[in-house]
Amino acid sequence: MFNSSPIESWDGAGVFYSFAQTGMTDFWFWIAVLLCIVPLFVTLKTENHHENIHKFRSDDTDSTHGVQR
Amino acid sequence: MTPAELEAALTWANTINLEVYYYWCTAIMILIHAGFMMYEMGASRVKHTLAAGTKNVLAFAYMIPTFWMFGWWIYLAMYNGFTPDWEAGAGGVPWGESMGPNLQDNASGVFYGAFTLFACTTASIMSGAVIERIRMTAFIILAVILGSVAWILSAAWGWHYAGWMVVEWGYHDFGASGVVHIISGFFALGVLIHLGPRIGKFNADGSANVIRGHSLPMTMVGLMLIVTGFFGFLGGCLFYGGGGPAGIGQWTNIYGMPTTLSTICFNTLMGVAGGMIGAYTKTRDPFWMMSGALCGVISVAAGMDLYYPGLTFTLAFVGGVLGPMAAQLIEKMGIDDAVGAVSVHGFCGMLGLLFAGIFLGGYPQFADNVPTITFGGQFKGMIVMILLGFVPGFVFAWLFKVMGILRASDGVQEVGMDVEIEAMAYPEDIKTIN
Repeated sequence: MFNSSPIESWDGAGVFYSFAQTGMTDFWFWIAVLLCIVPLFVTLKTENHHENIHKFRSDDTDSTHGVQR
Repeated sequence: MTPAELEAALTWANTINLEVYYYWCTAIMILIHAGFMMYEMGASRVKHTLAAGTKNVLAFAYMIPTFWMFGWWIYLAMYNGFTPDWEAGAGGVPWGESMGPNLQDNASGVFYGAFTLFACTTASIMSGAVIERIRMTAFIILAVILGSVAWILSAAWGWHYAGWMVVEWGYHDFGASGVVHIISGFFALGVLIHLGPRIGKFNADGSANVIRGHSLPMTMVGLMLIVTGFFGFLGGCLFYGGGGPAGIGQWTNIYGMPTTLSTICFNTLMGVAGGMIGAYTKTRDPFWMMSGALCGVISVAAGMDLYYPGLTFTLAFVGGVLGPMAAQLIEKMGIDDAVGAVSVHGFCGMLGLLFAGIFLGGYPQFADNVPTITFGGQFKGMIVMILLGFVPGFVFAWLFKVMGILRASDGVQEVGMDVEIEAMAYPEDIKTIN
């Protein structure tokens, strides 16, 4: 479907990755960046959900970090 | 075959050998990550096990694309300090000809891979220190800052033949005592200060409790995998003889000074053994015996391309004794470092640089205008590494703390961090004393 080849022959070929030397590499680069960032928000959302459910310790609604009671 | 054809064939064979060598170094280095994952999961209590393993794996996964996006460029471009050399960095831009399949470039991919695995190691080092209470999102971002920015910037400065610390101070750090271990250990310290201790670690009077992980055997196997991975890690610190002043076929360290693979074999094994025996002698503790292997290797890593094996063993033994002592000191300061990462990596990394400064005077450098190894140069390098690790860890952890995304709530810690990843390590609910 996509004609992504940057070469017409293997003789003397150098860069041969798909879409080389076209603007499409920028497109795939920024897609990759996005695919790193978006999952962080998804993860954060899941974390926040469970943080809200389990906000306090069962025996203490005003616990102090790190200090055993 | 004409002499020209013979020379071309030799050059080609050299290129392919280089490619094969770093490809397999990278594969072996993945064992370090597998080892750290087991180490951390074993050191966690049952209810936190999968969260510890998952964050370790995600650090690995995030390091790979981010190092491709900007990490490798930082290494090539930032050797002067904070001013990039755009021309040198051109080979590292992710849309460039070298950062993808290229029949004219057999080197960039395997070097990117090996350096990425070094980055993954730095993230794993921090990962162990913060188990059982750090939130996943903040951890991943911190791991990227450490692995794809801080470590590689330190490598550009002190682990690059043209790095400013090398050419101005004669900084010598063959096996990355400073550029990997100090950076990671002190980054972890900066994070730990804001993260705070695990619930129950310290009593109201400031005394510390021992929080045991659920599987010391898993931790020990993990550490043995890390030791195995060291052969990829430290082998990857060599440069396969591609010519230059040392000549074709001659192994060099990353600075261009000739060495041999045998040298690294002698001293890696001696470092592991010395550290294990030293730590076991000091503590009689299986956990610290295995961590002692790391203490030993890290304490000798900076100079292991030059040490006599007997000296290596001795210095590693000292590292194995002092590492656990440093961990006690850090605990007394109220810092809860769950696996001793600050002492094993940060403190022993300092030892590594200082030992090289004390015992490696007089060696000629790869170029006449580069200063020889001195205690002063190593000491100054150590200070730079401490700051380059600590400051970003401290600042970004503070930022995440202010944003409220650094530390899991007490309730989540009580239920277990696994609740946040919606998984359970042992569905049959095995019983432990924890």
